[in-house]
Amino acid sequence: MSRFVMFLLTAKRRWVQALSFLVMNSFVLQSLKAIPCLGMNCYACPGAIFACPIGTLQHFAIIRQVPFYTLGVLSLTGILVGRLACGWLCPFGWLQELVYGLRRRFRLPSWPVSERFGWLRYAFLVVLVGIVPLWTLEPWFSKLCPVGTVEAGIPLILTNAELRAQAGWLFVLKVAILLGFLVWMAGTKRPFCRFVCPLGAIWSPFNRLSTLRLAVDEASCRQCNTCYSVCPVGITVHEDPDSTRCIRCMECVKACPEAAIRLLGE
Amino acid sequence: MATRETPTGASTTADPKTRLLANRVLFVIALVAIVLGVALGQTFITWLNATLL
Repeated sequence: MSRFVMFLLTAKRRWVQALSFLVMNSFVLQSLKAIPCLGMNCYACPGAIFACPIGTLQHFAIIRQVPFYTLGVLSLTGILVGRLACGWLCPFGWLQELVYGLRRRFRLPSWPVSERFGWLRYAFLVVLVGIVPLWTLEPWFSKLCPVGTVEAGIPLILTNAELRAQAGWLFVLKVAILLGFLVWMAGTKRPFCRFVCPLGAIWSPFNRLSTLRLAVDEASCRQCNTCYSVCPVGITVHEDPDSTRCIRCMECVKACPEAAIRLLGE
Repeated sequence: MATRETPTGASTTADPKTRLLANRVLFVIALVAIVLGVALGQTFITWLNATLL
């Protein structure tokens, strides 16, 4: 575990995110679609090599079976590293950080959103991934998912004339949702991860119990809030190092001027 | 589970022993779920998302 911790503290996260996107959509080893993807990466993307865990959960809700395998893989990941995959592997998380980065370049205003609405991601998980597919026998989260629109819906429509002819109101709605998120992520830190993502909602509670976790040395911490300013999801880390929003990106550990935030892997 | 209130009102796990025990128990449950899922043939996902458009 100590080597892994060292890697997290020294690796360039942006390069890992880019590599993760390329590997997840590399169009090789298609047999890996039996494995749930550790991040929001659309299963229907022509190059995708893993299964979308949220699509899989909806599938099992529709066929009325308990998804032991998918829940087991997601739980095991959460127990070991919490939401680390959100910060290092998720392609949609990477996209949100890239778009938010444009805000500084173009000096756009930021739109902070209260964390009081963080419960919404649990509601999306229960309602759109669980109850609605169970009731309607349709995977409605996948139908509206902006990740699916950007990685699969739009590329398929652009490259396939038959599909283009079939595109209707649902496709227009999907594109509108995607555009809404693109505008939102330009002014708010990772809004999809904080308020919508059902995969993040599954992993969130594990942050309190995971093997890999953050700890703050209260004697060293001057509460300068450097951790808050560098955090891609807007956590004041010295107040709540085990936050369910933490994506284990290690930006706070690297930026803390007092080295008061430590990464533990017990 | 023992918790304490942070300045933001969020609760965190305070007792390291409880935390470690919960970590170990959930680890075993997750492994059992994976084995059970594999035994039930759940790794062979036949669903194709044909409803994206």
